[in-house]
Amino acid sequence: MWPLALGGVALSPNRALAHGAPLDRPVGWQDWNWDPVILLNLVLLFWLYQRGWQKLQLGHASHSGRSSETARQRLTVPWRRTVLVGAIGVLALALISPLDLLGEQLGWAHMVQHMVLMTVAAPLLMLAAPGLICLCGLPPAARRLCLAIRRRLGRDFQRWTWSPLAVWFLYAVATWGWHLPEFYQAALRDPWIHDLQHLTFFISACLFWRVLLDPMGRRKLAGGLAVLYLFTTTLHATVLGVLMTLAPVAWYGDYERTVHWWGLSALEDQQIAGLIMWMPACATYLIVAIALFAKALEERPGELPHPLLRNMVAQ
Amino acid sequence: MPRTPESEQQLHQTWAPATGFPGVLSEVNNRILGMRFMLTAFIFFLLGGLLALLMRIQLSVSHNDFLGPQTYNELFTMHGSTMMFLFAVPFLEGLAMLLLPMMIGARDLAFPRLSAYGYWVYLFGGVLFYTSFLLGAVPDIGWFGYTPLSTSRFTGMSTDFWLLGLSLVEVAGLAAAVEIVVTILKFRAPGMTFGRMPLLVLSLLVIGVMILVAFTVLLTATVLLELDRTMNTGFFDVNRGGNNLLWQHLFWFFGHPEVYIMFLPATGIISMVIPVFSRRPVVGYVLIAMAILVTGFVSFGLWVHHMFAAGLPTVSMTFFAAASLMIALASGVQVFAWIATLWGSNPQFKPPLLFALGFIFLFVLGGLTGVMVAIVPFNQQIHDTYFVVAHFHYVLIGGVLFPIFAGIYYWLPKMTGKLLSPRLGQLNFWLTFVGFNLTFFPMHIMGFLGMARRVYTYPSSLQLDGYNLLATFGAGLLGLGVVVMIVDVVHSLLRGGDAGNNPWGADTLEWSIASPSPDFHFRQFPIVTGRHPLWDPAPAASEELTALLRLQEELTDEPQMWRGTLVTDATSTCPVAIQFLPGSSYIPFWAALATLVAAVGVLAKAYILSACGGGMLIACLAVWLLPRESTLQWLRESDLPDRTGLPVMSSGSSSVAWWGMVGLLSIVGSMFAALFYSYFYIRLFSDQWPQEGLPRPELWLGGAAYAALIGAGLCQRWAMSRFRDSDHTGARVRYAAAGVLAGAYLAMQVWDWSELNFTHQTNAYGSLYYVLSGALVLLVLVGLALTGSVLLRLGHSNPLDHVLVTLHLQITTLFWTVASVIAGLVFATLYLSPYLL
Repeated sequence: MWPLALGGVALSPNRALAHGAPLDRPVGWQDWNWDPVILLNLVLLFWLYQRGWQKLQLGHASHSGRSSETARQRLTVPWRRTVLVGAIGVLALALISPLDLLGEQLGWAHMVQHMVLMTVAAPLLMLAAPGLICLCGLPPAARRLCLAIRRRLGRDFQRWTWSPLAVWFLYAVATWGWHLPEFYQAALRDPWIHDLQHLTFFISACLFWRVLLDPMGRRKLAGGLAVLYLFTTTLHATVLGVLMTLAPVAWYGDYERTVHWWGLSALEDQQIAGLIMWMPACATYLIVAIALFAKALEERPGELPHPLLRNMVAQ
Repeated sequence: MPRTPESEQQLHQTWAPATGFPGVLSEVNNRILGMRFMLTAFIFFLLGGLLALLMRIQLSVSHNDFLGPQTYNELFTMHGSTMMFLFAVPFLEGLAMLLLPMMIGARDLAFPRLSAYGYWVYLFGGVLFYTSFLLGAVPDIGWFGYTPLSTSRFTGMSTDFWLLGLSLVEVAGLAAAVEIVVTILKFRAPGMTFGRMPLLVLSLLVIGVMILVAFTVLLTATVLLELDRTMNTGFFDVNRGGNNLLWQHLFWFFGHPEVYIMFLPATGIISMVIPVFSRRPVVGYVLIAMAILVTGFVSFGLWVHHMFAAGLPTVSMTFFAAASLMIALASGVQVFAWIATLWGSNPQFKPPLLFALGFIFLFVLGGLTGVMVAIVPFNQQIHDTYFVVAHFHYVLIGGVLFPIFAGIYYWLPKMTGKLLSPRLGQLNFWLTFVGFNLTFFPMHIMGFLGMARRVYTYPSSLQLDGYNLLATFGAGLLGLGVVVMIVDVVHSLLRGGDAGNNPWGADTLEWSIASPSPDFHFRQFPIVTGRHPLWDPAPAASEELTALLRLQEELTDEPQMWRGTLVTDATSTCPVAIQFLPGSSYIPFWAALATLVAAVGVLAKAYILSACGGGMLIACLAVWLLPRESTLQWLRESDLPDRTGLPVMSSGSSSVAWWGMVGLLSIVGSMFAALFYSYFYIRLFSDQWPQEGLPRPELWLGGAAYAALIGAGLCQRWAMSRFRDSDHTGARVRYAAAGVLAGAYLAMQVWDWSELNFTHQTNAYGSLYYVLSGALVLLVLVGLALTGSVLLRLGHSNPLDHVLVTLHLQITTLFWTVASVIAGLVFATLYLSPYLL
């Protein structure tokens, strides 16, 4: 549940506070989105993670017992912190750098932003296990509050957010739904809807990647199933990309006003966006799939399954 | 039970193949069916090769009149379709059927009767295809059957032969795919984890999944085209808002993965052969495995690069070039891994290795021209010339046929128990290799010089006579090589020396058993501790090993009275159950015959015949699925659960039936995905939606109908949980309620249809509307049959069969869950999207 809330916090109301009227000239290198809410959230995320990390390393946060000790060691492998820094960097690239404002002028830049959020930042963040570690970084009172909220939400909620089929579907619905012209252009026109769009994209992506990458995942998808999970996602994302690329008319009329500044027609812009979704975005699914697959092929010579470990039998 | 000659005798008897006529029609054993599959495919290969030789004779000189243009069109259509659909894929499926159980330490495939059904449907489809010659209506539309040429405006019955023959073969392919995937997931010997599977098995697993998606899409496309031709729907009729490019999309969505569906098992064969003849493990096992996966993945994203000439956005060219490179990278990794395996070893140049080396050489050439063809400006230049012909023959003959030949020389001793002559094998290799290059290398040059594909002759002014004559001469040599191979095989059958268990000193499990293998393959399941079971050192003593050895001892020659094999967990390979496997049965044959009758009915436009075939098929399926009392009696009385702790009746994911349902549902899902794609593709190119100012669908009626349907699905989940709490009455009430809700959906759907002011013939929108909702109705009818059978089962069942009843309910719930999700998507597509888009 945790990475969710954090992801949400990192993206919440920003644009509405940040800027009003759209630019009447092409975006330049100087056009950064210094939205205080985003900045604050990213800094908060880093700070909490850092605190939690230190506590975990000192062993304060963990209870005694061997199982939690190995869990603690698994959490605090050094590369995980690097991954978090990477995730924050990528989030900053997507939300603060000129790419963000460019996304209001060019459809393909917007596609790149979404792709970076969903297929780069989200998996990196999930790999860093921010939920657990930040939880440790919270002051005790706040931590108790969070745990209480989690309990309140109940086990069914937990089960659904960890169910591969459910989050696969959620991710697909978010991807397809927001590309409907009405919804997409509503997001372009209204900053609040735009935030909602980014938020749903990011949250669904976090849930989507969590079942594959979460380091503490007892409920993680195993090798072959993970590959299938990503393969089917690739299929539907490819189809959406193909439809965008081959469409005879531009779907998002709002870009007509700005794309010509960049020497493109609205249709060409959309074709590039479609191709980005079709190939580079799907390539990231492929990369994760082969990495997980290679892990599933790991060979420990001579090891045998115990025939009496039949806990898998569903009777 | 101790191993005794008597117990082995009993095992032989239990697994004895059916003999005599009509006994052979009831055979279900994987070894025999696999060989039948391969033999049939090989005969089709000879037919396809004969057609190719006829074409080469026609092309040997300019202005030749040996064949007319019409005959030439027919021959290249039949040649391409035969080699792709009737030879390459079925042959590899047959090889998989034969080898898989032996390679993974199982006694048979997961669904023996499905294998038999697949074989018969394939045979009937192929024969139906070739019957076109007898009736003088030979398909002449190319192996891709592009619309509008293949619509009823331009072609007659010949195209129906093509569509229906292929549909039957595709059904066989889907059956084989489910078979392959489930067998690999559930029947691997203890210890054979994913990372220890032979690479051929791994590639078969990948292509199994690929077939489930790709073949279903083609099957859907052929059904849509056949509907256009017989029911006058408008999917591909531009005048009624249809779209011809839709066919190209659906076809190449299948066609591009198809290349890799043939190619990946071929590389799998190479990865088996090269290590054995260089006497060392393959280099880069994990890298090769990753390359196989990357190829499988990427092949689904690139279908559009077969459509460069159909008009694509110019901005897309860079992307295609980059993405095509991914495949080149993956193939390159494999080639370097094989070279590294051979490097510095002392290879034994026996025929299998010769063909493997020939493969590497030819495939690299074909791959290089592939990279050239993927560059768009170059592609525009050589499009539809002999350069392309040369390219794909290098890929298909070099990349698929040579590995198949390597595989034949490698595994034939295992199939027949007889050694082949190394001298004849070498002769065959050199004839084939030289003949192949003489035939196809000049074609590159002919292509540059402007010789067009699919044209029955060429003017002498092109000055291509010399090249063409050379190519025809080479084709003759190639044919001679195949004749030498047949002579070699016949000679070995008559005079060949005894092969023994392991003539090559190979490393995989199939070589640990006798040649030819007994019908049950293994008296006791093998225990695997590494990637090379026959080369690995004996396993070190451990608690696990002791326990497994005890289980192995207990299961030696067991089960005695019925066919059974060990089921293991898909990832950990822990033994979890013993699976009952059915013995000889005529039902698959009758079911396949019924399928043929239905197809012939469509062909002859005698729909009453199709209805009879359909009815017969349903009857056959009912008998097929009904458990026999004698079987149940065996399972109830078996002492194996007590002795081994392994159940003989299992449910959930330890039962193959559950996995079979997952396979079926992935086919259903892919079919609906293809229909959704068609809907949105046609929507994309329509100015108005619904077309021609038709009204948008009624939301309230659709909403009510689909709510009822989804309610039916939920009801069954609810019923399942009642059943888990042992409340059988409650479960039955909920199943009945689900039936009523689904019935309400059907009634509302029929009402909806009757209220519409357009038909499936009005325009493409009408066709899509009727076909999509009709497909869902069919799905619901199947679901209702399942629900009905559950109600019957819950009414009268032996308490001893509790596990089987549970399985029945699980399968029904699974089906309805997927059906509900599909129903939601159909609703969103048909009812909501016209308001949103």
